[in-house]
Amino acid sequence: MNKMHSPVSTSSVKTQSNPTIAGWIVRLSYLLVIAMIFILSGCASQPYDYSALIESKPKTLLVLPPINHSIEVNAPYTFLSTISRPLAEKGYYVLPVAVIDRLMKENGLPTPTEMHQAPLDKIREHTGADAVLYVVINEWGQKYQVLSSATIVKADMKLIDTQTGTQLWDASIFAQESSSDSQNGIVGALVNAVITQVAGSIVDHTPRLSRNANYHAIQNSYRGLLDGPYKLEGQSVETAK
Amino acid sequence: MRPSLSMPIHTTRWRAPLDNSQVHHPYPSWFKSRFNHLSRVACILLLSLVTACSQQPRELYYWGGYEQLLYEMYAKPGSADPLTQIEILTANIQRANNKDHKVAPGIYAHLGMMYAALGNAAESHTALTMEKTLYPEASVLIDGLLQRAQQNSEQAENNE
Repeated sequence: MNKMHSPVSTSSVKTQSNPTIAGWIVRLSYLLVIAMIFILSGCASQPYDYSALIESKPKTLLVLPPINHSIEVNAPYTFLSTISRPLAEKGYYVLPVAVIDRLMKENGLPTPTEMHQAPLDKIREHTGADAVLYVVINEWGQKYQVLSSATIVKADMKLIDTQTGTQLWDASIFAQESSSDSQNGIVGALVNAVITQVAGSIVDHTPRLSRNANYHAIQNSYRGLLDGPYKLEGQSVETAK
Repeated sequence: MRPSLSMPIHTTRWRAPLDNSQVHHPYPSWFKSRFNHLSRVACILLLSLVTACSQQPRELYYWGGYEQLLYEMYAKPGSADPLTQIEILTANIQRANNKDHKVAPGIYAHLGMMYAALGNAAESHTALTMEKTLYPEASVLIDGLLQRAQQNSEQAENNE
């Protein structure tokens, strides 16, 4: 017991008289925290313009299958499978994506590019959508580098009012997951890259990345989507209780 | 061994005083004996962070395997035929009802579409109407689908 306690007691005596290295580290970290707060508040100085979205108050959203600029063939529909949930949980009614896709195809619009050219008034007339989300995919899937591979998900989206044609909201989604491992050295990294490139063709990480990216773009506190009617309704019920 | 008289009784300042009740200890004794001050603060910060992260609010809707189903339906065509999809979706709805959680938007409409693909007009009608009842915003779309289904069936009858 004596051996264990004696160093603690001597160091605590030191800090009382004059600051030790540990003391300076603590002081520096306080400064760092204050500096961080200033930097973060600087980032938030330009607020996103929500005036069109607030004026339009859309309830029903329609998500069209995205236009694909990546080489991954499955990208549009992988994205489509991950977009309904974050939008609906934000309080909007999201028209069933698969039903809309089939409806468009049955009406002579077989590809996303053609669907994106459909006139807004026709879309509104047949689906009752207040706003349409147009998505363009820029990058999707695995990128192979020499010693590693990375999975990337990158797209731009725009929410357009079906009555006026004005843009209500826009966002860029991005997520990346690298499979490189620097700790094992070059041989380890090589083996790892081979394993993930082989396994990557079986296990598709893009749905998870797409889900995360969509969630963060929509929930973003600076420029995310505003709460929709179902969310607001739930909040007013809770406060009434 | 007998203690000699030259040996002091209190050797360190960390030993507890004789009357414990008069001294206020900021940490319990087992805690004090193991950590110095900095690591105590770090521990508390870490614990509060962990508890803050674990408090996730309940979602508005029950989604179950709907997202996975949509993904598989397009990424692996053939793996999800209408019958399998109907099975998954009805199980989903059942689970949502058991948990008293609202069925997510689009699930009943998707189910209706799958019944229609099988040619089961009655079940399709029920599911589509259910979507409309839960979410009145869907009525324009659902009414259009129902109208088209009826026209198609009439046409089929005329052809016969």
